[in-house]
Amino acid sequence: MTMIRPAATFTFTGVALALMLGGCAAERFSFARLTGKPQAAPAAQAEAPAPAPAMAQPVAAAPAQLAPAQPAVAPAAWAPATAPSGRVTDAPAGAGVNVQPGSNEDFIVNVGRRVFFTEGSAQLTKIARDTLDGQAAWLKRFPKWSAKIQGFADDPGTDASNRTLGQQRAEVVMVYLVSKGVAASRLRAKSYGREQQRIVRACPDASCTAQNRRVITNLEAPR
Amino acid sequence: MGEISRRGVVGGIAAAVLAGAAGPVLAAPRDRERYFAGMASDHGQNYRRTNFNVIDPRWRRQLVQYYSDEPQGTVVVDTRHHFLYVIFENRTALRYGVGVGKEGFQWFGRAQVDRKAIWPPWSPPADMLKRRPNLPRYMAGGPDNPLGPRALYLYRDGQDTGYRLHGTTEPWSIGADASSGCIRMFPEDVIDLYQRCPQGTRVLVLRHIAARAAAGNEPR
Repeated sequence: MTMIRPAATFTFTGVALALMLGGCAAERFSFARLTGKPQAAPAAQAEAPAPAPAMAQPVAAAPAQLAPAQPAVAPAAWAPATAPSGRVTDAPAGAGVNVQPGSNEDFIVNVGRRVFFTEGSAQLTKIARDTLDGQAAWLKRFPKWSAKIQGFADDPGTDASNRTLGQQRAEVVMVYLVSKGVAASRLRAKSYGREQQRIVRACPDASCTAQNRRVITNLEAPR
Repeated sequence: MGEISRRGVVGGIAAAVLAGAAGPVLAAPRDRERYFAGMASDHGQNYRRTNFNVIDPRWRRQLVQYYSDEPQGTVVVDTRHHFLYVIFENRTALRYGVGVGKEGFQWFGRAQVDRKAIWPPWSPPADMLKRRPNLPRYMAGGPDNPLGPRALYLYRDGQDTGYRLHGTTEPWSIGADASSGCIRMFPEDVIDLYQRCPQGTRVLVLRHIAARAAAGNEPR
């Protein structure tokens, strides 16, 4: 029952909400700087590669309160970059600084997969456009990749309206990427609405909602 | 490999050397030029690109394993070890090297990014003005502004903590303790961080990661 709205419905020029004075540079990362020795093994085992959608972390735990003391977790001793195989905070999760240009890890580390939205909105903020400019440039440079554009919502309204909003968000991103020169055939939009297992964290506070109202550009291996 | 000495930590002299930028730190290394590699433009301004070839790899942005209960999207600052993390899924985090200024050691606990700014203006804090009365009271955002291209302002319960994550014009100060500023990052990194942190982002400032268990708003 996903409604597909004509993309033109959404204007990209919308004044970025005054709240978010933000933006970020599109071409800020020179890939040159990432060239280390080429890594033999594929880089990113860090995030489950494309298909398993981003939100691996179940909402566990009672909805977090605002600023509670942290539950006492066994403090993982800080250990600077130790054995790569060790389950130790700070051990490399990927290729470290030798990320291979064009790899999924490169996209994750040097471009960024997420853009965020304000409540009830499927309009791109200035910051989101910056991120997407970076994504479009990267996707054009590495044409072997396709991407699933995943839309999410946890906004006021019904499950159905959230499903619709998630779809609108995904499509607005897709249309923007296409407007920047990425072939539409490489992209597909899918909404997850507010499906429970994909909610990053459930609470009415901005610290939760900001993470949930998002679109993730999930790279897909060439088919 | 990246043997980057924290040269120039010449105690008190440092402040005197501080070139145009207002909030420095370490005396600029004599060979400071090698820390830069051309110019980049960003939102109507230009900044000097960091020459990452001379930066110790550990201070460069990278994906690391991260075991904690912090939800995705949380920013964690390890003050002592000069790292900042954005928590990702699957027990990973994106880690950045940071420089920590004096102000950066004065506040610990949980906060939230309630305000963000591109090319933020800067007003020197009162005690800095006392030490250096010649500083301008207000500095518009731009390439010489010590905050660099972005600032994220941390609030707690709606109140400004005075704590900020910001850029720097002094790449050699990343990984070091500086004489002023909060949490400073390479311009490329603070630009990157900015896009990953929507308003409302949770932030946890720790003395060091092992302090996690006692991470309330402990007084100093």
